[in-house]
Amino acid sequence: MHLSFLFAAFAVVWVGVLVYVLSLSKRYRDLSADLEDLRAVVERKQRNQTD
Amino acid sequence: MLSPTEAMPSANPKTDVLAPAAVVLSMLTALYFVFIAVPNDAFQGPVQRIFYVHLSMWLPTFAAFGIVGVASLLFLWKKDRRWDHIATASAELGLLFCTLGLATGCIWAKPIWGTWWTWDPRLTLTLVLWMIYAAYLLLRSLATNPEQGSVLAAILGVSGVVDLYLVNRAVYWWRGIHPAVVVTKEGGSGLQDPMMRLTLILCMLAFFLLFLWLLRLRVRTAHLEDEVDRLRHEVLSAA
Repeated sequence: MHLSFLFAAFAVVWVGVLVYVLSLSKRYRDLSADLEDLRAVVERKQRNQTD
Repeated sequence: MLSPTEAMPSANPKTDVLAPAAVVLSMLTALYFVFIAVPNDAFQGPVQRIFYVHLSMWLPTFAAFGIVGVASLLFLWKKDRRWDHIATASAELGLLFCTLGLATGCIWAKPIWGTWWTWDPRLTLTLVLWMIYAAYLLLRSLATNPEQGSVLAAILGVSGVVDLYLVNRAVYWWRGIHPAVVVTKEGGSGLQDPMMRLTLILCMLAFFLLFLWLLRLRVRTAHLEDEVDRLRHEVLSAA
């Protein structure tokens, strides 16, 4: 019946998509954190310059 | 013409909830049709159901690499880095769907053709397509001069569209063993059962929605990367 091939094909697709979504989500979270930090640094520098 | 800023999706709470919900709903519907509603193929049996997911990988692949071509061309013309970001995001997704398409094709081929791979014209050209866009992403990440890397990658991105066309035409121009599953004027064998055709359409729609949602997220990530780079440069130059 070759059912194992059918399930293997669907498993490959779902694992592939899941791994990509998780890696994208991690990249997005890391970048958001970096952006927050950098904005804080820029703000601090600007405040120091005006003081 | 659409400007890169307009093409760049911003965070929208409503769309952020509705888009994944639409993807999940369409996926569940497609899975119901693939595993329960559609009848077994008389010759291939249940293995033929792999076709629904295998074929569904190619619409996002073609759309993604098409976007890479157009965005790369606009980047070379306008020298606007935001088009470059759209091209990169799309190339990454195109490579993902192309990899999954090749993998599901191999899994289908083993029980039906008796081999995981054969050097059929369409298969070979698809592998070349995969290599072109893998090289595109490698070129970007390995370039010591990012500006030069972007230009070279954009040229590769535009030239890859030629192979995209060849992949599409391969089953009609050269004699190979890859089947033409969809009914076409050129003589594709086609899925005869209306339920099979409906299942294929639902599956393709579900994966295309998934592609659009992922593209939106990936382009937004590229936008963030750009913003982080700009601020980092600002901080370093001020130091």
